[in-house]
Amino acid sequence: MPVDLPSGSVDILLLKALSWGPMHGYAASNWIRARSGGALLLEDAALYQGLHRLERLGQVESEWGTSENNRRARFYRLTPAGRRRLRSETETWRDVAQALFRVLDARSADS
Amino acid sequence: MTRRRFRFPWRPRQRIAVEVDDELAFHLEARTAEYQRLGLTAERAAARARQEFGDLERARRYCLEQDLASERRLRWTDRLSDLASDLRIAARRVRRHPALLALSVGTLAVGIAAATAFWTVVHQLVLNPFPFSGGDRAVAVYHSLEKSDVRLTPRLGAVALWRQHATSFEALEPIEHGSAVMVGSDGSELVGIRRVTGTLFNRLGISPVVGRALSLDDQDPGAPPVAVLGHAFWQRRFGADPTVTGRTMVLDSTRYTIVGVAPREAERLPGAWRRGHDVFVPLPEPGDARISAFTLAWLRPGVTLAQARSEMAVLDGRLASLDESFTRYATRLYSGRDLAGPRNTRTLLILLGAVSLLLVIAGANVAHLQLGRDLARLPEHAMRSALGARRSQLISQGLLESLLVGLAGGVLGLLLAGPLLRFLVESRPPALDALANVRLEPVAVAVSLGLGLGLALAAGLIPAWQAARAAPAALLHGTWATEHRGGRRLRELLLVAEVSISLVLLVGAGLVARSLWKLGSLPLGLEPDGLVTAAVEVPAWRYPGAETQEAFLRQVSEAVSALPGVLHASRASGVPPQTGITFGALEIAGRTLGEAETESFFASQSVLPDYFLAAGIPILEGRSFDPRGTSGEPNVIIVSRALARRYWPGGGAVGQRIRIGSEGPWQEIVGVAEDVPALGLGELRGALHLYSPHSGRADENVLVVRTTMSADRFELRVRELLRTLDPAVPVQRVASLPALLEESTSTERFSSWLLGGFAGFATLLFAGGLFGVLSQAVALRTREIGVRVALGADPGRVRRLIVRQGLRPALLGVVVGLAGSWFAGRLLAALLHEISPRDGLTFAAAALLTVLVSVVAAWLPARRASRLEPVRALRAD
Repeated sequence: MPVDLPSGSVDILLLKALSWGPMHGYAASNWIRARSGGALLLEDAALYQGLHRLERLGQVESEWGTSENNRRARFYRLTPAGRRRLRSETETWRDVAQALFRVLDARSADS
Repeated sequence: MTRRRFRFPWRPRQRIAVEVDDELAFHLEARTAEYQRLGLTAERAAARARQEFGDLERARRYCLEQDLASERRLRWTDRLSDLASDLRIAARRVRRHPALLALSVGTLAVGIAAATAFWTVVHQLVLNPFPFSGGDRAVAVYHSLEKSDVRLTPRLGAVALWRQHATSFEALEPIEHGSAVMVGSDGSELVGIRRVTGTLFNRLGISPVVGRALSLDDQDPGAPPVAVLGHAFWQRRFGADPTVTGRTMVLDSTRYTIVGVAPREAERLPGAWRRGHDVFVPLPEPGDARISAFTLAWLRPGVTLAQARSEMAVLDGRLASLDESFTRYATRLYSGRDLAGPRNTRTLLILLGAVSLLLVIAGANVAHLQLGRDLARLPEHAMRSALGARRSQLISQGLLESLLVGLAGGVLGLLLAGPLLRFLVESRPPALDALANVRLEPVAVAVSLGLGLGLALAAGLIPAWQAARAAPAALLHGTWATEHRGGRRLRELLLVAEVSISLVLLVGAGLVARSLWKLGSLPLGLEPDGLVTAAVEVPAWRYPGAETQEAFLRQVSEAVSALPGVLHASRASGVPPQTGITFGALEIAGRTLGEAETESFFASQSVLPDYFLAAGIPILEGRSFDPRGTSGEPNVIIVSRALARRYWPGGGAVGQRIRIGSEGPWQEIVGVAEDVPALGLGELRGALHLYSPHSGRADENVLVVRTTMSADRFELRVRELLRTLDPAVPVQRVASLPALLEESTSTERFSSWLLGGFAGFATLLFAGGLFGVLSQAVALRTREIGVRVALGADPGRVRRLIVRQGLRPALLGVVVGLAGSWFAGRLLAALLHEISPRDGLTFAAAALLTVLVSVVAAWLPARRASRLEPVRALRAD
């Protein structure tokens, strides 16, 4: 069932997607769907907004190139700043998730 | 290292919007194609893709916004990195001519250092001598005689009346100056006492560094005596001991408890004459209304100085019935600007003016250098211009180089300004003693750098603009040297300016030097060599009553006479150039004097009968005072020659009777003494001199001693002597007459040295400028000269040609400079004595010197030109 994503997580997903190499927005969208097994349905509008925002922040950079079927497409790739952010935020998300689960998995009221 | 990707040139908004649209369209097409592959029809696929996308419009707007922001940021980064690389290029180009760079930077640095140092001095002494809170509204209140510069501090009675009646002031603070003897283990010392109110420190916005300030309760006449130490005094005498509060000190037989230490800022309280602000004690309130004190007043907000002044004028009339000082004197208000004293202010402003002129020359010289460099680069500019470089690019590059030079000059100048200021402070004349507290302020940084950049910009702008105008064809053909008239005219103009300013400075320095020389060769009227003076401050608490003081003084002078090496010892109330002043209108018995004849301002001394002998002042007519008795004859007076000659030109002053003021007994003139013209160069200059016999009231406490000992030796002996006679009596101001006289002209000498230095530097600059211009002219016209020589011109003619070319701007400059000096002469009058500001000899000498220097500066290039071999010259390009 598609889950609504908090806005901060759009960035991290995009950064992760792009960590595999430069890709255009369409490819990124597909990758995220595939990777999350269809569970995360990221609205494309939000995805493109995210990409452009990341570019303004200097964490990705874009370049026009040719797609697989010879169409003109805008490719995005991580910058060193983006890579740094990806690294640090992954850690943060992991910690947050673990803490969340510790709370959610509590067997009794005071364990 | 940042990677600079290849980007399109800056994208306009239109293009960015198009790109966003393209990107989103690509996505939709791809999604549509996918759905089509899964079996939907074209329209259904497109609709599904569209619907799945989300809010397309919002996305488009958001992405456009983000992209515009990105674009802006990238443009900025581009601009900055362009600037960075331009600066790097400019720096490289500038470094390629190290001699030129050093000369430009050095010239600028010296000029800027001098300007910064002087500006700091003027700012702190003249423009802002009250660096306290509300200082810009503070004024000093004085009583002064109608037609003279002399000002007196007002009496406390007057201050009280102002407090009651004057509405312009929100506060009045009297600061009574006095001195007291502090007896210590190593002898006694006279310290400077400031009696102040409990509110002064608050009003000034300063707080003590140790302990507390004085309070209003301390001013109660019955309160226990307390004192606040001055900062420098605390460091000197108490070793900056922080536990000094609670200790006591004895001043003039009263024991004071130290309650605090003043901050360093208190040293800048105006009115620190010879002695610093050593100790602050409370001013008794209510106190003696007849004591006079230096008074500061703060204007109420909204009240202008002019309004306050007119109120004072009105009050002078109204208050005359309440306090007699208002009948005799007029009240004057001096803002901080005037507090330094008109003579000092004028001196400083003259020096500042001279420094500014120097700065202009420095700037002109730098402009020369830049012009020269640009002239040499004209072929390169022409080439680049032909290849497509825009004029603005050429200009901006030239400007950037000038800015770098200016920045370097400003920084170096700032570094030099500190030591220069310290040098000025060390060598300050006593009249400018306030210089001691002048320090470099942070604003000086702004001044230096601003001057550097500003000058460099000005100096670089014209050449840069000129260079960019060069027509490529003429330059490439190499005929530009002879055709390029415009540049030559500009350089000549600059040279004329330099020469004229340098001449003005030379004339100024020459006038001051001559004035000094003339002063030095004035007859002194007394014999200064071997004459030493010392002031004996007999404390009243130890010797109550005038008779006991007089007896002690007599004892002292007898003991001094007995010292080996002392030829003669006498006493007086003061010694030139530090005599006292008397005012009042002169009256002559049996004669009515007209307005123009009445003198109201005299130098006066009371002297022992043998004073004239000791000082070596000849009595021209009559006799000296009668030596009998413990006090002198009543109602007799001795006048100086000038006075006698003025009123009795044919002689016969002896026996006449005069008096000062219209009451009091007539004084009979018993003798006429030689003039002592070197009476100091302040207000006493040219004053007529009166001598009274000694009063018997211990007024004559200055020993006047003729001795073969040196002043230092004498000082030691006298102090020894006083210690054996009475260790509680201090000896102050031991000085030889030659030293005192030198001190009285110290301000003029100080200015003379400085002006001389400026003039010398200016001359060097213009000589260098002339040399550079001519050298370059020769280099540029090599071919032309070759042609001339080949056609038969002899070397002498070539030489003369070049020299003439150099002399033309020089002579023009001399004419302009002489005219300028003529008009500006009046400004220099404050520093000149015995000489007119339009002294022909000085003008002629300065002009001659300038022409001579020009000829010398032109000689070398001229010689080089005359030595050119025609063949080589013609081949050179």
